[in-house]
Amino acid sequence: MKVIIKREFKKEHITVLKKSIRRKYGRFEKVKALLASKGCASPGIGEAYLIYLCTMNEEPIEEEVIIKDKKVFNVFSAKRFEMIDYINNHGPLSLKELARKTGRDYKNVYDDICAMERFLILNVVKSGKEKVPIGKINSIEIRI
Amino acid sequence: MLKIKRVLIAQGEIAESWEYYKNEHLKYYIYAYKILKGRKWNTLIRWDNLNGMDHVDIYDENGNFMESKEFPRREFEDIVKIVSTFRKNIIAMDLSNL
Repeated sequence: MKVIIKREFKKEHITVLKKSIRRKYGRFEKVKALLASKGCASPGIGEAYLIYLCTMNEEPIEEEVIIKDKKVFNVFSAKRFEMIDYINNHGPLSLKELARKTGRDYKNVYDDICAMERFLILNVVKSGKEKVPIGKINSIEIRI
Repeated sequence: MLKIKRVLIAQGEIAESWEYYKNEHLKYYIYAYKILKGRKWNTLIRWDNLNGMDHVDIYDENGNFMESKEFPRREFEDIVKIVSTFRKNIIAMDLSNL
């Protein structure tokens, strides 16, 4: 049994992703230099480099997640599906914005997002002090 | 085009693939086995060709770099099989025999 999630990154998601990378590692030239000098020592630099390459050439980014742990079914709930739907339809939003726009308590939103992030249902990046779920889920499939 | 694939092997353990294609040919790849420590995914093993050579990097459980070795590229499906079988014990193994 496995759950397969397919996600695509639209322009607005890539903008958030790029911003987060720039904050963490700096601009492309710096990432390239870091990769050449200590690429192995800091594993996140390689991923940052590939994202920069993609964004500079305006190439698409796709993600597929395969979850083999049955405990993932404990994470799904009607409320959390509603949240996935809201994120899909309203683009990248910080958790604060998400709580405000859905009229939910921030802590509950935070807990829901963290639970889904742990099982890779959501891809969450740090943008400054804020956490932002990015990527548009196109399908969630259960295979038996 | 960038294709990212993440496989949740067990709670807190993932195999991850980043493949960058140029004109439909695989130019760069990163395959990694990561474990969740606190709220951070730490890399334990990582195969890539970003420096132009296929190799594997090994890290400790805190994500500190330990060593790097040459390693021919394997398909990501093989990497998933290897890490699913050996899990966290993989860092103590001789990878050239796998």
